[in-house]
Amino acid sequence: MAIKTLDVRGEICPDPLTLTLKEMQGLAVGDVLKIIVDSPMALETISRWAQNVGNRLVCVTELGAGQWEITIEKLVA
Amino acid sequence: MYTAFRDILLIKDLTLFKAYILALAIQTVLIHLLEEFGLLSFSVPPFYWLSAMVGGFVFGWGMTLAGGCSSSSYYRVGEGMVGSFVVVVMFIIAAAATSGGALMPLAVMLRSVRIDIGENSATIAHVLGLNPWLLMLFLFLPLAVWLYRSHSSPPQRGWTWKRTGVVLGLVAALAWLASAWSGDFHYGLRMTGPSASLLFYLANGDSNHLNWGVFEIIGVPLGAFLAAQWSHEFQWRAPKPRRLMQQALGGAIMGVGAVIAGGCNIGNSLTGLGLLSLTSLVTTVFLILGTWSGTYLFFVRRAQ
Repeated sequence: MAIKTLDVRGEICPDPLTLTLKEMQGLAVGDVLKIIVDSPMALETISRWAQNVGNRLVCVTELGAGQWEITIEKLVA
Repeated sequence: MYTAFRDILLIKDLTLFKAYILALAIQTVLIHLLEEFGLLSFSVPPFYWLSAMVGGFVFGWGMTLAGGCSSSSYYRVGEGMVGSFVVVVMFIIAAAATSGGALMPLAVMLRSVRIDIGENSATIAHVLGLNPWLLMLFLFLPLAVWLYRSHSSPPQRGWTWKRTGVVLGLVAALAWLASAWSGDFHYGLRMTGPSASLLFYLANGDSNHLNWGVFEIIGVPLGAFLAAQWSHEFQWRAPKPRRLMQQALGGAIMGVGAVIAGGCNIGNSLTGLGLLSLTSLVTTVFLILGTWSGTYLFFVRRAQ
């Protein structure tokens, strides 16, 4: 199981999501992606997308004011 | 609202769109009730079909490049987002230039093409030959059933879509009353006209431009700032330089599109559609098409 980190702070919507999608394509089932975001909307969109497509939203950690780390486990190829 | 429209295409998710529909339904019913009681009088714009199509589509592209619509850019300023501040500044300049400056002939030309249906009659109800209450029943009853039965994942933070929709709908209806009681014209939430008015006031000092809408757009970032402080989320955040310039361009395009269309997504897709305005309906359809095509061209295709 590989764990990768993607930092999308400073990107504007919808790039946090499109970059996440691109990164997820390169992962195998069971791998984990941690995405660092600084936009509340990106936090919600990425979390909803992960759950909607059947991946596991492992956790969301607040890193500081207005910054979060989203941890997703890839469950679907 | 940008995210609500965009997520339908990008992640096949209707969570925010449901909040929008709920807010629209609540506001529409409430303001028609207020009109029945004589507390509001509606002024429906003529059917500017060409400017609605062009302006809506251009606005959709603009808000895609800006990373958010005009209203979300205003409130994100209050959260400390520097990119949104640039969007707002460019939106204000472009809105003023298009409504009363160098770009005004473009808007005048596009808005000269219209279909005269009659004074205050360019509504969906009038065109269909229906009583507005009957139309609202046909539209909102099935939507209410759909909304009641639908389920969405709970948000990571903040309010659920249901709470958001109800509160936004009530605020949107209250805005009509507040605007009317202030002596300003009877209309609800809006960003475009007040943005241009703010610049006109700052440039020439004419206090006639200081209407209810100007204080509304000043209140949005102030309210967002207080909310961000309260939830410990205020943080100065700046995008990368290339993104900042992209947002600046998006803000300017939004300002032009909004004036051509007679309002932004709030002024048309929420407030104008609350009037059942035909122009606002066409604007909203083309605004969504602009958002979807812009999202595909500027973001999805690049990421593939």
